[in-house]
Amino acid sequence: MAKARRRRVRDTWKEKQWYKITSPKAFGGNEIGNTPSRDPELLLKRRVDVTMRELTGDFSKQYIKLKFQIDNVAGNSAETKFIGHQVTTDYVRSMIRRGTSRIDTPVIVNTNDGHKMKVQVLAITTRRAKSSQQKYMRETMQELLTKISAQKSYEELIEGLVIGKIASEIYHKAKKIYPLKRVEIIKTKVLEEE
Amino acid sequence: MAEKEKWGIANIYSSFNNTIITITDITGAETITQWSGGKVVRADRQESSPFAAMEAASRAADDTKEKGIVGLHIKVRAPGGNGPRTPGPGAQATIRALARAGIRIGKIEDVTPIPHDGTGRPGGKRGRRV
Repeated sequence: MAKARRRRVRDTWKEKQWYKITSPKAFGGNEIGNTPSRDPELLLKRRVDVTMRELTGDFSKQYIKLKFQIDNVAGNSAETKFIGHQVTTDYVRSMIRRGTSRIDTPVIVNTNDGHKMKVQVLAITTRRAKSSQQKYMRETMQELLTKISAQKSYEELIEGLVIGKIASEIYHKAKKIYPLKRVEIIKTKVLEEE
Repeated sequence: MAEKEKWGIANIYSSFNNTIITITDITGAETITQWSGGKVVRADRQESSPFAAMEAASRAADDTKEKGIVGLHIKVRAPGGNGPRTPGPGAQATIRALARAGIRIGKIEDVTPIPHDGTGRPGGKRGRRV
């Protein structure tokens, strides 16, 4: 019985064709990899994780994972769109120490061209902060981020978030409340698109 | 652009009871092969042993190479949840065996599911009494 099943698997594999996955135009439109499929319809909604290193060749950005989802198939190549990014768990773990406070701030932001995103900011203090200070910090970070993103377009915002420009901007503003060691944007998610 | 070499993902689930290797394409939607410690050894208690993991990994490597994949990214996972969060004995053996079989190894990542807050560990207040 095992043999018969094996043969059937082989056959479906031969029917499958390899499709090229390309990154979104905002990220260069390069080839990311390949995926096999029997039917181009089945390609839609597949997701790929790509590290920043693979996209840009920058070794120091290895911990950032970008998530792309296939949304269009044209001939032999599948086009993707950006659906979010995430920092690897081991990187986040390495930042957190004893005797410091971890301040997580989830913010839902709107861009000026009608996109809605969820952004998760992580701030790490040098010493343990009181909860009132943490609360105040969270409020200011939320305000700041909504203000920044309201002025930017979708693509500008993604670029700023992923590269770390916005994180450093928040760092310089928020460190006046309590001395900070690090501010990092650990997660984003696209909620609504135009 | 020249034809890019094909890569895949090796999802390794390593617990104290078994080691399961699932090799997929980079999207994780198409499975290429699936092997486990239990497929290569007879005794139940050896399913999680490094030997079984090695054996399973080398067979998985054969299947992957046959289908034209040259390299694998690795996602290691322990049971997680309310169980142990460190991968079992088979995880390291699997990665080594894959590398020895001539497959290129890309990034290695730990994808153990860790609850932000979940149910309590089994065993109750006084622990597991054997």
